[in-house]
Amino acid sequence: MLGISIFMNTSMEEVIAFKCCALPDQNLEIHLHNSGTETIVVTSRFVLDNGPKPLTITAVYPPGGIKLAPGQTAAIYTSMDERVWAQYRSISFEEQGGRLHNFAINTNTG
Amino acid sequence: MATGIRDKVAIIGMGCTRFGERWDVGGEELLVEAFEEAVADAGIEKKDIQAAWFGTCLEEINVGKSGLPLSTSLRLPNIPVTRTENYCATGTEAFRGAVYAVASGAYDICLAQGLEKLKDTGYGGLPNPGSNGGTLPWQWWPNLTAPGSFAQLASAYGAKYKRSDAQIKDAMSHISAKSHANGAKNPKAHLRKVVSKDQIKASPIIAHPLGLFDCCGVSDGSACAIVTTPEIAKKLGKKDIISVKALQLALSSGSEMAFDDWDGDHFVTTSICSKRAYAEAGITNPREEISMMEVHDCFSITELVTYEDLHISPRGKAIDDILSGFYDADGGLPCQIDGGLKCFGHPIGASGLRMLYEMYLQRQGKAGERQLKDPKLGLTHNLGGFPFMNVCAISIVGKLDA
Amino acid sequence: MVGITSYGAYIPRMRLDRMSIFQAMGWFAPAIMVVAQGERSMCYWDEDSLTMGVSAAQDCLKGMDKNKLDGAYFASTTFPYADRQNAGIIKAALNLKDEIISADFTGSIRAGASAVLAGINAVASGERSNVLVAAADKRETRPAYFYEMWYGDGAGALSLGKENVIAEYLGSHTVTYDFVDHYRGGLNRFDYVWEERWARDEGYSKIYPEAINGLLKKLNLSAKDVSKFAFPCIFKAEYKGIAKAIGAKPDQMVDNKHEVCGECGTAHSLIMFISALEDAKPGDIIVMAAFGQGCDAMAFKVTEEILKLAPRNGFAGCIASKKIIDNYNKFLVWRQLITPEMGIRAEAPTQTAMSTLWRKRKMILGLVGGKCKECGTPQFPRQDICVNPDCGAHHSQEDYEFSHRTSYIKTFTGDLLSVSVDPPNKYGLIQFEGGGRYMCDFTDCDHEELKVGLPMKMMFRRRYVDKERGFTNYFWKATPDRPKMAELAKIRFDGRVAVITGAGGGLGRVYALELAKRGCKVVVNDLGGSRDGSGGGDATPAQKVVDEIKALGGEAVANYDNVATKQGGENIIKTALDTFGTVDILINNAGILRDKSFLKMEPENWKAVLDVHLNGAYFVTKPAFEIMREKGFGRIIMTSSAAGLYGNFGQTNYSAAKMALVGLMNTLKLEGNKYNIKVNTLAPIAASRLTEDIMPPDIFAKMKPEFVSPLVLYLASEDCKATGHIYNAGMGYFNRAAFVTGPGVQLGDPANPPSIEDIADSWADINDLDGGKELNDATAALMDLATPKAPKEDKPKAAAPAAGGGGGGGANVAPIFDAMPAHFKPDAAAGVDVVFQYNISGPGGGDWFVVIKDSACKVEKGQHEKPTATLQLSDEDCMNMFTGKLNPMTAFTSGKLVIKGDVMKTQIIEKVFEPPK
Repeated sequence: MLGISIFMNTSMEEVIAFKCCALPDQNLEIHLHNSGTETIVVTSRFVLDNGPKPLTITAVYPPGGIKLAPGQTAAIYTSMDERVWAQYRSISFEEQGGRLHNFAINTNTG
Repeated sequence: MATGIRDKVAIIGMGCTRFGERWDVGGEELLVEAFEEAVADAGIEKKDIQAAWFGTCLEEINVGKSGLPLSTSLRLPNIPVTRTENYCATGTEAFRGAVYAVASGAYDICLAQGLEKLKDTGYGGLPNPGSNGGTLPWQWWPNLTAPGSFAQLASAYGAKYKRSDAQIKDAMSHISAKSHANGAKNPKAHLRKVVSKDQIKASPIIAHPLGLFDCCGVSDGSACAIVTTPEIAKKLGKKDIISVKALQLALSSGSEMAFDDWDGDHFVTTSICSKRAYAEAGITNPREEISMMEVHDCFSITELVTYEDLHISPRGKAIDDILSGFYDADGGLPCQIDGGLKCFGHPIGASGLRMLYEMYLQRQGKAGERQLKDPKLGLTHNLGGFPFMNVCAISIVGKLDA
Repeated sequence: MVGITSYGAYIPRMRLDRMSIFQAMGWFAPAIMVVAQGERSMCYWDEDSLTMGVSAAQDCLKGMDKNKLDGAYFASTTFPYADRQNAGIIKAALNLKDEIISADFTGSIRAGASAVLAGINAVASGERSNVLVAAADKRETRPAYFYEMWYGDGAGALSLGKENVIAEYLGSHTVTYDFVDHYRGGLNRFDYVWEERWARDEGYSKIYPEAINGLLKKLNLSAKDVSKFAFPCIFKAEYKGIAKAIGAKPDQMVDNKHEVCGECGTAHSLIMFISALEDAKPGDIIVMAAFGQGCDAMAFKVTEEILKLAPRNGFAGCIASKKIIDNYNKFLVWRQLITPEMGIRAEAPTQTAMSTLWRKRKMILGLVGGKCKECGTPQFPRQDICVNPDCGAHHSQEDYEFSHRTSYIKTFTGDLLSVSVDPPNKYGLIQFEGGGRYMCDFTDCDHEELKVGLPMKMMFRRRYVDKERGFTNYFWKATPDRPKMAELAKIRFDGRVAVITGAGGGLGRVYALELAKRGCKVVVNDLGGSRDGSGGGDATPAQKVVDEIKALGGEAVANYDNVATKQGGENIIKTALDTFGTVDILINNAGILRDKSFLKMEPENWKAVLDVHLNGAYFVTKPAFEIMREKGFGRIIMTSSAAGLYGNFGQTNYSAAKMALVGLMNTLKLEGNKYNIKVNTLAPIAASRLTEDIMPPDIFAKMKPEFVSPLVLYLASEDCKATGHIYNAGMGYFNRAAFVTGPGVQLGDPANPPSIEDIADSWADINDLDGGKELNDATAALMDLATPKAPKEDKPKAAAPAAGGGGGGGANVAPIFDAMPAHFKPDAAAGVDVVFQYNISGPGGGDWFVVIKDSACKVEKGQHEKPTATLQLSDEDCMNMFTGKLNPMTAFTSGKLVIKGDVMKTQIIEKVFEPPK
């Protein structure tokens, strides 16, 4: 089972730009957590839905898929305009192998 | 018969620049920035300084060789200026020169200044010395980096003390989170945002298992100290004088990387150097007697094993102390109270003196939001090189004659 | 006799899948498809002709005294240096003696063969006694043409001499022609090729036969006298044509290795020849020929000495170790056919000091360190002062070679920060067997395979290429020693002691041998009696097995006691204690037969069989069990039989005994569990004394004990976690047999016992094993019997809990969730703050979450990040539950409703929603 946590305008943005070989503007941080008993690999992309029209984001760092052992959490980062983000109510991730995980976002904003 | 350094030398002034990506200044200007603060703090004039020790490590990408960059930037009036270098322990090495000069009776007032201007290279990270690292090492040393070398401590420590990757990662994340929480209160630090332990744990891997927040960044900075005899400090009207209690160095003999017994899990030098420092300072129970410390947290794993090499956490038990908050700002022995290398970055020559700067401020009650309640003895640990071959420098400061 | 004394080969582990070339460049050059079969060998980024030559030479030197070499020739058309003797670098890398003649051979694809002839001539003339010849090529090709596909990278090496000759030199014939099928001018990077059809017609097809036929004529041989012809020719049809022209049949032609590595330039004639040598028998004649501005042809006759040659990789071993790369871009980057941005950090100074290299040549090129004469510590590097802190002797070391030694990883990392053409950059501290260590680059491995303790071997590889000055640095890197890894991964019994009863022959003997081969110390017990247990006291069978074990280098001791007595059993275990100090494994294998139909079964036959099989197991296992309990480890195997498990006419005594052992195991497994004593039972089908005249001879032959013993050894190993299991094994078939207890029925009630008619009516259900389970012990069985059974009518529809189990009902549950808010009772929900996640399986199902907060209810489709509890049902059960047909508590206890998370909180559901109508 996959769980997520969202950090918009994350405090990590300046650190990634500074330390991590000059990757700028990575203001959206999403944690992916594997609460299951099997290792999974989540593809480095996501789809925003329940909004204007479905938006697929592939420019995600690190690329190449995120491998998560049971209990492990890893973060992905991307550049995301927060006004665009606020227009969507759901986000989905796909595992290598096809299983989809769908989550509600922006639930507080009515 | 030698009697050590305890209470023979007092620190009467210190200065420290803002650390960071100082595009606005070069090394020459950073030296002046720190120096001005120190001289004002000491309440002396420049002409009172009789000798200086200048620490900078990567001079070839920075200000160049010899003591001349210091003497010409500060316009020192034809006094002796010695350049020192001992990898990342350079800052403490410069301090050592000035302190011994005063203790020997050869000089009354001396200056120790460390500097590194790393951001004129055109890229992030430390430079690869290539064949300039020595004609022989160039032909056989592996293509290593600092993160990769230090990362190996983690696998060795985990195997020896039966700690899982997850436990070590958890402890390292706690260490970084604590340092960032402290650095957020320091106007001179480079990185000043609080970062959560979860964010730290989830961050990308640099050299397995070290992640982004387990490694310090590269930045510019300078720090300096003015030292003199306790008598002169009293004559200058200084109250609550801060003196040097211990100043020790230990270097590898080459046995870690060529003899068969080192397990790769700790620093042989730190373990020996700290014992000498405690003996010099008259400390028998460091865990109880030391009030605060700055250790060389270039990498979180270094800080973890250093707690044991300093004989403060028992062998194999550092993780328990870390997770119980013992080294947090409100814990039994606050560590990296200024934010450490994690928040300041690591201008190599300056770091050792920056560590002393915080101990000095804390003793004087001038540490602002970070102030600890009545700290007695402060320890700095400054490490250069690699786990398998390194220089360890330790200083202990506290109230004169206490 | 002059000839070849040894051989070696090296083919890089990386193999580029040729189809990946086509996939990348087929749009540009579709014709390359016709040669896109298999893989071509490809140098790793840090390999070149010199490194490959060193590796092939190392392989060749296995089992040889390299100090006898007084000549070293190296052939290549792709030397890293045009002027700095490459053979001299090989000499330094192998740490050969200084008084040696060395030379580079180049300029043509037949240079390798020419070097062999030069070496032969040097030895034959008496000028030299032992000459090493290595040939290697890493040919440069432009992308998207045939040659990139045809060529591979590789090296071969031969040593030539007069002693212990494995293939006698018979003679040679050479023609030299300036036939320019291709050329490469001195300053050019790539070959220039002329029309292939012309090269085949005028070159290969004329010059090869001329040289080879000339050779055969000179030696007075005809083609049929030759076992194999080894000569490179990339043109398949031409290869066949040349075969005809020399009078050879297809099976005499050595395969040109296109599918597995490709043509390796000047090394290829040696490589093809070596592959023929590997399969050759004494007396075989092999012809090696190489084309390239003429042709060198030579013949060798294999001798008996080849059978004594020490093991080496050779061609076959190198080919077997491979990693297939299907990313053509790696090939392009590693060969600098494309130059990606390496960044400013890569602009490090790269000047190499020749004077330092000279002083430290042994250290850097030869990986020669020191060993202290005072304290015996091997160390790298060798320095004036010993590294041992307790020694510290000055000038006390002698040279000590490390390049051939095994090492193990002590610490390591995968570094994403280092500048690398194959990130992450892998390196770490390696510890040599025997002492010594250094911080070392790793090569030819994936980060995932690295771990502390992994065995490594040393390889001579490139470090940096100083492009500005044209200088390449070399040093030694570590790579996983894969054969050794496989060896170490084997299940071993080192340090363990096993007792096997009845081990003088049949199954027991094979168990004893196989355990001993894997390091176990064995007590071979055998009374020595006949099959029916009469006679006996013959020491020969047990002692013979012990002798067999000792001949293999193992440890064993014989014991002749009778298992069927208390004293006998104790003596057997005492032998183990006295000789080896402990007991870890016990295999109760001793047994006899006294088959009789039941009515003819006299008491003494009944008793004898039970005494040996059952009581024997008791008498031996008891003292063994005591030792195992004390040490917290034990593996006990009982030998049962199909006769016992299933029954066999005429073997009531044997069946009873064999089944009784299962009963013994059932309880012994419980008593041994907390001491890590595992007890299992084997029912073998094998040829042994007991089955000899029962089986037809041809089936008897297939039933070797070796097809049963692997399972038994596994049951005896530390890895085996099974206990209380029964296994059938024979002829390579393995399965587990188990008791299954059916769900059963409950009849009558506490006041009224069931009648006989009740039993008769329910007979089918009482017998039904459908839905049966295995039970671990008697208590569990009792509990299981007493648990109320689910009513019969529900059974066909019973869905397995959680998603996927729902039957074909397909009830659409979406309307339920749509209607849920309408049934919500806000007044009953004060202070409630929960999220319930529903995962409904089946075609009519889906995922919904219900948020109850601030006295409001919201139902949404999808998956909530952090639900209070998750409820899983099939679509049909969900529908039934919400329509009142299925009671939620019943659903939960019967397993139809699965709840994860805070189960207690789900009781709120009944409170805050109106009950179903």
